[in-house]
Amino acid sequence: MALACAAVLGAGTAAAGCNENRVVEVGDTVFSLAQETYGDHEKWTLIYYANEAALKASTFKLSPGMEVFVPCAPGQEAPVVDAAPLQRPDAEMVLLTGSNYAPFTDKDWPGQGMAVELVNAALESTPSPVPYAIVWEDDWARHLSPILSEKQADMGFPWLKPDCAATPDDERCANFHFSDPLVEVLIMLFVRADGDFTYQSDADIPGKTLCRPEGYFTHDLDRDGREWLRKGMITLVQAATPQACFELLTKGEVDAVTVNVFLGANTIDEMGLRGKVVPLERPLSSEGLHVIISKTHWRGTTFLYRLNAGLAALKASDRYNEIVARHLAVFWKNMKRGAS
Amino acid sequence: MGGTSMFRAAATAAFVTMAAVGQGQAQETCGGLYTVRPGDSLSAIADRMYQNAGMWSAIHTNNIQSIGPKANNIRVGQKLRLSCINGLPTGLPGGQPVAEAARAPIPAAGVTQATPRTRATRRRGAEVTVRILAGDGYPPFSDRLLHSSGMMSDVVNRAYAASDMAGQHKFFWVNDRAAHLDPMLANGMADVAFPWIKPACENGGTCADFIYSDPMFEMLVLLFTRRGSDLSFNGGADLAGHRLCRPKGLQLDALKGSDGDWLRNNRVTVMQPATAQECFARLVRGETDYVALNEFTGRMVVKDMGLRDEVEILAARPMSIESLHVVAHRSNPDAEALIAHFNQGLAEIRESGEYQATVDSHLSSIWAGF
Repeated sequence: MALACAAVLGAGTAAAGCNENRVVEVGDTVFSLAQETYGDHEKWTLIYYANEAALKASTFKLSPGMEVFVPCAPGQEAPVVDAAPLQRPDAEMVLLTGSNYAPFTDKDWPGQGMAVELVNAALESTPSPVPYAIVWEDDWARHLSPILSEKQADMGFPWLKPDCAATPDDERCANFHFSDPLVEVLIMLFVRADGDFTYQSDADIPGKTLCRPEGYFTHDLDRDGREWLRKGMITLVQAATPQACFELLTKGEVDAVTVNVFLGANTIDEMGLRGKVVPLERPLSSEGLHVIISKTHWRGTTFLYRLNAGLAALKASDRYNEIVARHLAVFWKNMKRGAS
Repeated sequence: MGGTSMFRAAATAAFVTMAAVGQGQAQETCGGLYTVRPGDSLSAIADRMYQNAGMWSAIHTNNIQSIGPKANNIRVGQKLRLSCINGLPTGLPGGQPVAEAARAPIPAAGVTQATPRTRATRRRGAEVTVRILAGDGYPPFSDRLLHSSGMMSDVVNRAYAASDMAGQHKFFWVNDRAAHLDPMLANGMADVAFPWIKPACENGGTCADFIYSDPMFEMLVLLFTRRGSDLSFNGGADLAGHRLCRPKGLQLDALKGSDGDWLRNNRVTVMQPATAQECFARLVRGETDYVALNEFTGRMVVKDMGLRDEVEILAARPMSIESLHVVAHRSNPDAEALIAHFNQGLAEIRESGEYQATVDSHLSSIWAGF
């Protein structure tokens, strides 16, 4: 670990140690800590996910005096995929996922993605194991219906959960059980680097024009205490693609693009907007990625329990953070490769 | 065995004995061929012909060859055979005189009420009639007040109908579930019983005497507490010194934790009254601390009793997983064959989609009710 850490450090201009607790000083942000530690402010998600509970509790604000754990960046070697001894072709539990959703699920990603590794590790840690298999269907539109609703596969992942308390009749809420979140994905505000958009609290948002691609959820903008859309407090532009949103941002037609941290980073990279467009430190929201199962599955609640119990055991161990950090490192490394 | 009713006796209102049906209707015919009209659905036909929309599954089961696994797959002009059930329907072409109909086999679960015969009268030629023992008061799995007499009754009925077994199957409703395995199955008063939880067989127990089918359903055993009692459950130690209620006829070995016998090791006082209702009544009166019951029965009974504001479900940490099976006693010379037939029929309806359609229709209304 120390070696790997040194190798990463050598690449940048960083000097601060890692795998240690650090007391936040005035002016510190997750970006500045990442710059100090890894020589790369883009690796801030490593710090974020290592302190997820504390940061969520402080509504994502680092405040002076707070203690955060600064992990070392995982090594650059290809991750060793965890053995999954219960994965068998004669499986009782068939889990369905699809590609092109890096870093969470992608057949070409090391270990086939963070969510796949977390599911494997959770099912290995469950107190009532059953043999299982993971199958791939890259057409996500077929997942909920017909594949899961007709039980051609048992469980699906990873899925965002709608605000089911507010919209119980939503198709997903009405027909599926949701597991505890495998991982939280941060929904960021991406802004022009030379702009003056700040986001210290929700009071900064009304009056702004935000872009989120068409077909993406909007329930976070309308949750209790916000109701920005319902009350017409913001203008939401729903462009056809993430690229179109970022284009509007660079033209000054919207104040911010709001998409998840990985999609944002990828799009910025693809469009050559590095340095011109940056995420604000504080996420707009955090959405869990879940495993789902049909409410009319004959083992619906018991399969869900197996997954949840295994996930709880996994989260109590170091292995959970290790898997998450490893995939984040691969993601940011791929970004760098794209940049050079 | 007609003694104490296990969960509740109210279900007896739901059926009419066949003997009663025949009286005074000697000139009429019963059952026969129905021709599907525009706008018909199986439940609409059932409502009109049997005066009970829930009988749609009996029509479906009877005509499974022509309808297929999907119940809505009927077409105008199609002929459906409607059996005579409780004296209905009357006036269709091809019906039987009522006296004769009363002796005909009854296809749907839940419409027969009879005294189980002894084994000596069971065989008629080479044909075998499987006598299936069911009990009311176990919602949503078996209760004649429910659609198709409950989800498991529906599945058992369809699985035996789909199996290659020569002969028929018949349901016998005996509400004292505590008597089902012993003495009834043990003494050959019936052939198989359902739905029963399969215990952990490595500990011997009921596994030594019984053969269990493949699982028909799987669910969680949850603990229910009084709201505001502040009790939680994160493992056996939380039960220490407390009182726990589980209705009679539900095995206790399902409550043994993975880390040893929770009940014995923690000196839990266990009570087993006749019904789930009685367990919840004791819970709200403060006479027990926990009720241990599967998630579906527990939620349904709490809802029916109007106790949703008073009872809290500790859903985050289930006590165990239990599965439901058909069971036969090893002393029955046909036990292996009876369970093998069921397993084959179950595999058949799983393959055809009929199982899924059946479970879908029950579970979607169950979840909607919660």
